Amino acid sequence: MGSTIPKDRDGLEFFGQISAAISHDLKNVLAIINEDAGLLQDFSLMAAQGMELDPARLVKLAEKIQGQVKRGDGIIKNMNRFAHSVDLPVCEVDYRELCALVISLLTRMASRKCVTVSLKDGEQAKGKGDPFTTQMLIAKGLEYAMDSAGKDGELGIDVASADGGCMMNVSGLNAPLPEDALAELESIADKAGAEVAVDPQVNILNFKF
Amino acid sequence: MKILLVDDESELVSALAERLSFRGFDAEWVCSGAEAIEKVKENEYDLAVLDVKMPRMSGLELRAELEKVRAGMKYIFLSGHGSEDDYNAGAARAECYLVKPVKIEELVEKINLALGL
Repeated sequence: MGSTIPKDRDGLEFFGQISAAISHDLKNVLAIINEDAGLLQDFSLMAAQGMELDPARLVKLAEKIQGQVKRGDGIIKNMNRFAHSVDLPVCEVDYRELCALVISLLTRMASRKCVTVSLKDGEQAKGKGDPFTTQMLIAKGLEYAMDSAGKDGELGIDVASADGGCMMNVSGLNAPLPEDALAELESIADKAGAEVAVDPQVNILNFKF
Repeated sequence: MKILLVDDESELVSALAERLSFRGFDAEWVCSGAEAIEKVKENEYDLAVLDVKMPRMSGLELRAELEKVRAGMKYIFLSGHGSEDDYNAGAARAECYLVKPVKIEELVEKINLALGL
């Protein structure tokens, strides 16, 4: 049996990067549930030794566990949506929805880079596209935009229908994107059937789908 | 024994501190590297438990900063990941490296070992 070389290593790396971020978030959720359950166990052991249990404290702990279960459920829902984005090479996509998902998946990265990312209000922006490659393009674009924005930077994302497709603007860049970063984005944009441009006058990264 | 816990997940670190206090440790907690540095300037801790991946300042960077403030503190690293890179970096610079979720008994054992108790 001969070895096979993945056709799209970039895509695999992106999949791995997002999966790693998700696993990190889930580990934190489990760690918190583990400690809260441990606290309940501690209280039970102390109660068995005669210490008085505070019902309000138990209710608060139960609420905290439920909150973490809800958080974990949200992370897994996003993970599931992301995993299914490879199901079809081309289908009808809502670019606003994809953008919101990518922002959510990159929460940890934004937090690590100390950048706030917000999606501005707007309508659905639908069109035909490759959901996975589109997500990769948005994610890579946001990663470079975060680096450009720098610590305590704020990125605002505008998504709107335009000419039968969609226009996505990322504002808040503070430094020009490196040439190799732009070349990488152009390469992914090409695969996604999109165009990418940077307007240095207003520090905006633009995608046209 | 005075212990400082540092993790950006406040719910995790607050519960852990309380559980350690039940086991006889004087445990305090903060959620960022900057807060940790302030705490260590004001108090003398025997050991710090640091999350490896935190915004602004990683556990490894924080350890280097804390060393400048108070040399000789002991360290245990906690991480949600378990990557080889993390382990190598953590194990080389700390008394021990644990992967979340951690068993309290194991953490207590590692703290005792690090402090020579």
